[in-house]
Amino acid sequence: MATLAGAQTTPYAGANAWRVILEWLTTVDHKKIGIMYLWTAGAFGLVGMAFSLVMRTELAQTGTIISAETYNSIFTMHGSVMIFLFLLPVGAAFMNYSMPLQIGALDMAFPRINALSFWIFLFGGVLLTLSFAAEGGTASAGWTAYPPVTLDTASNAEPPGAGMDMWLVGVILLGQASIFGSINFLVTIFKMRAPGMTMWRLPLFTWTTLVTGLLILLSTPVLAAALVLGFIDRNGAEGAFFDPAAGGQPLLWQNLFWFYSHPAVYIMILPAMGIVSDVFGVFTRRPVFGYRSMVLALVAIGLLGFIVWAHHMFTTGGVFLPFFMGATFLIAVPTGVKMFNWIATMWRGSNIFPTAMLFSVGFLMLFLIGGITGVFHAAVPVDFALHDTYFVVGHFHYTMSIAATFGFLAGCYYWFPKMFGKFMNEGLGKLHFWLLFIGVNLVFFTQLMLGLDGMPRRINDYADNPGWELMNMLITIGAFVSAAGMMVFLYNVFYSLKWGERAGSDPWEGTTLEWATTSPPPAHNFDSLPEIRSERPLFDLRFGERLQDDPHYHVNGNGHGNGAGGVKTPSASAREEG
Amino acid sequence: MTALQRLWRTRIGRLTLVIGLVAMAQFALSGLLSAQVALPDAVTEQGEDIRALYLVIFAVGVIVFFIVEAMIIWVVFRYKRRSDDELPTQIGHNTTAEILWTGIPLVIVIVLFFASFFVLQDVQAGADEDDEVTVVDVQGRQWAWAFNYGTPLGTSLAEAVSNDPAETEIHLEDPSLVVPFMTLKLGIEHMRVVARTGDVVIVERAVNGTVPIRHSAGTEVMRSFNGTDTVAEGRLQAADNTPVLTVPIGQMIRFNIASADVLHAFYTPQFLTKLDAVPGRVQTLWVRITDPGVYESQCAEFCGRDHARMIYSVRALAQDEYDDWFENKAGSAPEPVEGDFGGEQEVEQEEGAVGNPVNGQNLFFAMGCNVCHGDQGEGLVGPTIAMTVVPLYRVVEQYREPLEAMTAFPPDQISDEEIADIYAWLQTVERPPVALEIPSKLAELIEAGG
Ligand code: HEM
Ligand SMILES: [Cu+2]
Ligand SMILES: [Cu+2]
Repeated sequence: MATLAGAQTTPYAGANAWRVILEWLTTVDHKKIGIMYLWTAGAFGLVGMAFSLVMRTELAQTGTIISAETYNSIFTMHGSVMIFLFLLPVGAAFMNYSMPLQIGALDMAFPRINALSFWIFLFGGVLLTLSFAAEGGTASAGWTAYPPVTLDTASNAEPPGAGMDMWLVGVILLGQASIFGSINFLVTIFKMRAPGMTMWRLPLFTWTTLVTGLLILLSTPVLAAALVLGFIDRNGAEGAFFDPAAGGQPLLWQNLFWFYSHPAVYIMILPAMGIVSDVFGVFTRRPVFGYRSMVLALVAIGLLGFIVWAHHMFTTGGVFLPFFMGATFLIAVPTGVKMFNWIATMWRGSNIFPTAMLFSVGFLMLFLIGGITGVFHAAVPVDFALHDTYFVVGHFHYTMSIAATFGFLAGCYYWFPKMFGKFMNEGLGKLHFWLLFIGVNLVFFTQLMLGLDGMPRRINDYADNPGWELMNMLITIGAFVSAAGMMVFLYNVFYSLKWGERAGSDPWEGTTLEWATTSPPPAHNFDSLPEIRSERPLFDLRFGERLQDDPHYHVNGNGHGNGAGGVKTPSASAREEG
Repeated sequence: MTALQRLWRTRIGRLTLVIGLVAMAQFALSGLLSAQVALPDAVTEQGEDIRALYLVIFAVGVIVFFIVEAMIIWVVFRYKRRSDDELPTQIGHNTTAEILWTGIPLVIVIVLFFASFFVLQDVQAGADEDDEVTVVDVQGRQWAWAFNYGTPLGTSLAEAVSNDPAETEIHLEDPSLVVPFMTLKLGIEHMRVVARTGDVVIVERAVNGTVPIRHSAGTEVMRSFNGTDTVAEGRLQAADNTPVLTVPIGQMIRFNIASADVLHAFYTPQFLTKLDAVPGRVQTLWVRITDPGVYESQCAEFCGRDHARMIYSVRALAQDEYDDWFENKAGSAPEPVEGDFGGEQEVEQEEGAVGNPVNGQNLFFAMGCNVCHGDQGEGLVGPTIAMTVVPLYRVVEQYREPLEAMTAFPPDQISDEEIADIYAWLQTVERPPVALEIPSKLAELIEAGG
């Protein structure tokens, strides 16, 4: 953390290194906490990527290099790390950093709880990582950990060891961190908005934070329940909850798990959607098309997200298929609305394409494939064929994994100047984009085809069927190309921290309030706030006068303000007293 | 000036060339991969329905993909900022457009929903009254498969269950479907089969849907019918002792899918369907196979260390060949594993790959295995090993590095091949009922019957 502390211009100029470290360790500043989330999650993301390279090396050809146990442990940790230690906390990083700035708040509603949730997250993550040292190794039943194979029961031939318990406890902790975080986000958005910032003037990223917070709050306790039951099952109850030999119900776990984990895929993708919405708004100089329908679509996705969990269980024979099929199909509609709105935002726009924008366009292209392949899975009979094959691996990577990652990378390029006062290097950024875009398509499109041909997921070796070795080799090549892209990114981060071009307070001609303060912002965020009359207060400031006669330009914003026009904002110092 | 250059001059020509090139690259790539963009052809009626549905969705998906992708590429290349102070239109919404792009997708998914719904009804419809039905019990185990060939529908336990919850003895015409210690969920009721003898099945019934806790450790699920095929080490490549499931074409086949331990899934890619094997449940999968052949298949739900090796193949025979095979199997007493596949040409067996049971029997006594495991492998000090369902390679491991009190046998004392011989013989000895821990009531019954 010393490097990033060094890059940050702290108010305590001349403070010695220890002082700086101590300051970061004890900080309750949402910006610092956000940055710490970002660094930790980024590091875990690299670890997760390393695991994927191990898998791809194993699968490049038939035959085995590592043992089945090792492979199972690696794919489990790849999934668990990527989801619980990379995607979820990266989302939390941006929500922490940007949301309070976007609504003109001084900090989160509960700054200390905010710090607590970061440290719980870190502890949970370390626990998961340490399980490599446990006897019997890590958990090895996938990130979904379906019992009874996770249990220590008589009928299970190779019961997992302490690593499984560490996984359960680790994920409970991570869930707890999420819950704390979500309450904080919600209260902050509801209670800490600057005067004039009505709900219909929230930037779209803040809206996604709100819906994400609700999803986390309502679903994570259910996961926690499942994890606690699982822990009891392994330590004393001998499977009474989930092992039928002891009177339990294995499908109960799946229901509880997916009741969380389906909303969780939206918890991961929604913040990314929020980022690209903001990015499109800035780099097209247009209002994000259909602001209200964007918000309604978000809410619809959030609501529908709670009634589709059993689409992960179509082949279990234990769910009422037509209902979950119908609800799943329906989700395609609000998702499509968002897609069309984004495209319409660029339509007739005055578009420029810095790296953040490239990644946002990449997001659209990847998410499009993810969404369409999702419709295949929604059709139950087709899912009977495709479930648990590489098709599903391709599908979920296209959506929640790689599309979300693209959204977050857009966020990195977009907010890096705000966080560190310097631009990321654009040349390296473009190289990063193209390597990653080509690499991931090679990986995941080929996985779709492999899945159609019937290759099951979670296997460490495969039959020598025609075409399979070639496809697997292509996937492996794609994985290494993607990894090369990420190395460029890593280099770019450190390069730019040190030698990056200085960025002023508003380097992109931003539209939302985070650009109304210095880069990096002072500890108290704002010295003064502009008048807030719309969801784009800075745009109004910059172009409002020129657009006065444009009939399409709404002075009160595209959510059509809540009646009254802008409220004059009192100075920051006045707000600090209040 | 070549023709190509001339073509390049016109706008339309350029477009044609570019599209042509892209299309060619696509085809080259897919040719290279012998790639599938569609599900493979199905060998079952139900699979054909699924494939048809897939193709409908695929067509819709491809159209939507190209339209939306074209829109994205269009706006990216068409609308660029020309000057620094350019200000684009500030149109922020358009009700008509928004209704259209909500409404059209809505209509599409509603249509797809109904299409999928009817196909779903179809593939789950099961047999008609006048259908001939073959019933096969499929049981997944870590990491093996047990297949149990039953009788026509109508004699299955489900239909023989009486409504009297106090009743614990059920009379079946043919109880071959029933596996001891299998738990059944029938309607809302759970019951556990304790044992069976003759045509009487003893069940434990649960009130309120829970089965009394009972660990079945030590009493492994038995394969109850002499029609059970070899359960062998699953291998990635179909080989000599891959578990083989033999079924007829043309008939409706009802697979009763169960699990002895953890989750597994019954997945034959050419059927274009799968169903999980969930411990504690018996679930039904219906197919009617249309093409004879051997279909490599594999467990599709993660089930622990050797999940990747849990393969099997489905051998679909013409009706008369199947009948011969079935007669042979049902009529014969326990027989060597060797000739057990009915000698059909589809399955290539390597000579000598399967153990020699006669040699195995001799070795069993010569090595003194009988001292601990009993003369019939029925278990004394050591556990019952007759008809073990533990895969061969794990038996070999047990010889080399025993888990429990057993003496270790290094390779110079007994070779892998010799262990395979013993293994083969063990498959032929019927597991004596006394080895089961059975309630005294049942013991009486057996006594009386025997
Ligand atoms: C280029 C980068 C990546 C490659 C090459 C890759 C590769 C793979 C492969 C091969 C599997 C299948 C393992 C198996 O079934 O045996 C897998 C599973 C998975 N991946 Fe990735 N992956 C990448 C990036 C990501 C990202 C960015 C995420 C999420 C943030 C992610 C999340 C997952 C999850 C959740 C699973 C499921 C694990 C399980 O089956 O339990 N992956 N990945
Ligand atoms: Cu889901
Ligand atoms: Cu399996």
